[in-house]
Amino acid sequence: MTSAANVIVTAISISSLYAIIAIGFTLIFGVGGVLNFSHGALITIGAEASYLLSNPTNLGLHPALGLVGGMVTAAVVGAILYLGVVQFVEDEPVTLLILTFIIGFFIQHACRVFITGTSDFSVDQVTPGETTIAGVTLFDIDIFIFVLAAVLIAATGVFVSRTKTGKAILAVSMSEKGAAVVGIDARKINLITWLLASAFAGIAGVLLTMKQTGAWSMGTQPLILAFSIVILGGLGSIKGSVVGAYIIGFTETITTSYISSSLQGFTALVLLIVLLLVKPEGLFGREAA
Amino acid sequence: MATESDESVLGGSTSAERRRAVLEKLNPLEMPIRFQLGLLGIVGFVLLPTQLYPDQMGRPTNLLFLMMFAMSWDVVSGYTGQLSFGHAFFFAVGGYTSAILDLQHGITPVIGIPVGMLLAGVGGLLIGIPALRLRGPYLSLVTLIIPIILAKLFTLFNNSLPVLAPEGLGGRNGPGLPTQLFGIDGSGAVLELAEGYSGIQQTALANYYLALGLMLLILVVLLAVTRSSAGDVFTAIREDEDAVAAAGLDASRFKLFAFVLSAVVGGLAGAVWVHTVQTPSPLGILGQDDIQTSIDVIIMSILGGTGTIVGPIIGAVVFALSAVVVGGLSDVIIPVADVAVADLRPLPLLAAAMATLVFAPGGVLRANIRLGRRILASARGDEYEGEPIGGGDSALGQIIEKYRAELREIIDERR
Repeated sequence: MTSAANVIVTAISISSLYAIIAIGFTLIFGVGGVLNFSHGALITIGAEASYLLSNPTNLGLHPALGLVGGMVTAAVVGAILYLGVVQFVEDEPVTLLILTFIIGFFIQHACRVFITGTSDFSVDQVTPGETTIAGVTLFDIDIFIFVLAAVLIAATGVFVSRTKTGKAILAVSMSEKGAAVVGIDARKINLITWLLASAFAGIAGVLLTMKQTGAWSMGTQPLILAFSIVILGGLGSIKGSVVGAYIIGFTETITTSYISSSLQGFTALVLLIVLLLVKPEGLFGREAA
Repeated sequence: MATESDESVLGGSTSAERRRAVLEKLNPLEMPIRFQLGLLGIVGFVLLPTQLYPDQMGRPTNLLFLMMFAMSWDVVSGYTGQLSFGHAFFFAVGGYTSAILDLQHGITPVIGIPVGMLLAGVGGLLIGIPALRLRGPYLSLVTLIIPIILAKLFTLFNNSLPVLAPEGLGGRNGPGLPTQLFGIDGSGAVLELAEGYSGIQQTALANYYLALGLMLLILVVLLAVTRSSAGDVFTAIREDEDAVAAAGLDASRFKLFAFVLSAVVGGLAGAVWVHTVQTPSPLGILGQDDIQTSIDVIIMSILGGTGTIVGPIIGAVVFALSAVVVGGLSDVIIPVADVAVADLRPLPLLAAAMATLVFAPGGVLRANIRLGRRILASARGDEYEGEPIGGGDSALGQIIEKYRAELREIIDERR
């Protein structure tokens, strides 16, 4: 029997994961105007890398190293994607849209063919065990996910609003021409954004694998949810993504725990369609990132 | 263009002249080479079964269905520029409707298939109406998640859906195998053929030729529509919607028409599919993760060339051939990774699609027509000037333009 507290904790930890996935997605859109459908594949990359590094049947390193490794690998792949492909077709959104979709499939299938095959895989948790707080037993991994995600989200906020590079990211997302006028190298900013977003996706992939299990196609579902979250919160808005992630995460967890587990991935999408028809610009559509 | 001048011959003054002009136009020997090649391709498809055993017929038959699906995508996305990322929804609606009617209501596929087609058309209306209000990325998202929602519904109403499907939609396994249109004697199919091996042979042939006939019918209908003035309006919507409105035409009505037409075609193909060579199930119709088929359809259209109707057919052939060729290389092992080339599927195909997108956005069809014209011109001793190469003029280029404008609007709105 799941207690209300446990449902809430699960909802928080899942929402936190969605939030860091969605932030990356929305940053890339805000800065480069690119809807990056290969974002889901970067989640898979992170998970697969951590599997290679920290699963006992492979290198068997400490899970924390797997987490870092997953993050770095995803970031590197993201950077390769930007430098090798995206920057050349940057001003052709449809080509890019379909291209990133196909690249995403390519990466995931490559993971299936070369690394894990069709079977699920697991990675040891960074923080195994449980903690009991005020009579409620929590998995440490949920707490870890929540804390890490909160730190990452807060750090992103500070980075974007306080540091020079962060402000440059904001500037490019507002007006590429304006940014160019004051001497910002849009290409460099784009690269930084891709690195950041991909690293987040990688971390999310590792944490998802630690919390549940990993699989070669594990990135597709979060990708669609991230897209939904970003549309819900307003394309390009960081704040909107975080709020959207919690709305979608809570809706999903509560309906699957209290109504039926077969509702997974259903209510959130229906909710989204209804919202799109009623308020197509998203909850925070008119705000700047 | 050399071919353009031939087409103006149609407008003769007397009816006799006109008839002669039409006959001349239909004379294969007088046709432009690309039409002759097309006819040759059709002849090839008609003759193909003579070269295969019955158990090899499944793939070519399936290929014909893929062609129909890709064409149905092209008429709405390639022509009007409304990108649909979930076209398998229509195939599934057509297929499931007919299958459920057959399995749970005892209605013969002969009636079930048209009903499935109609219901898919209703689906087209239901998606088409909101699609008129949604811009680029939003429409893509909605179309992307609709088949996923549909698949969830299949699971949700796994065991029963009151009135509509008393025994349920069957979840991930599908509702079961519906009555086949063709089968051997005593199999309970709609049309029972001979007994034993010759029956199997005949079934395979009947399925194939039914699919081929259906494909050609759809091809003719879609060509007729897209080459008519309605097709011109579709193209105009893709190019500049405001201009269409300024000309006093209701763009949304045409977009809706394109959506419904596409849905009806997809539904018809989907419905016949489940009564011939495909089992109705989320994996069978919607594909991996409930989106693979929709993406495959896009890949095929892009490979062949969007906004042409004929392009997707060629794209589907390339798609299927690459699967056969790569699948045949099971003995060739890639040295370092120790993986057989055959196991790489679908990686080479995805790579080909990426390359097409980047290097030949007009698709294989246009690239080859251009190449062919150049060869012909140099054979005549002329210099082929050709059309401007690059995204701007191709259908994909225009879809891109449209999308870009919509993205810009969305971004501007946020400020």
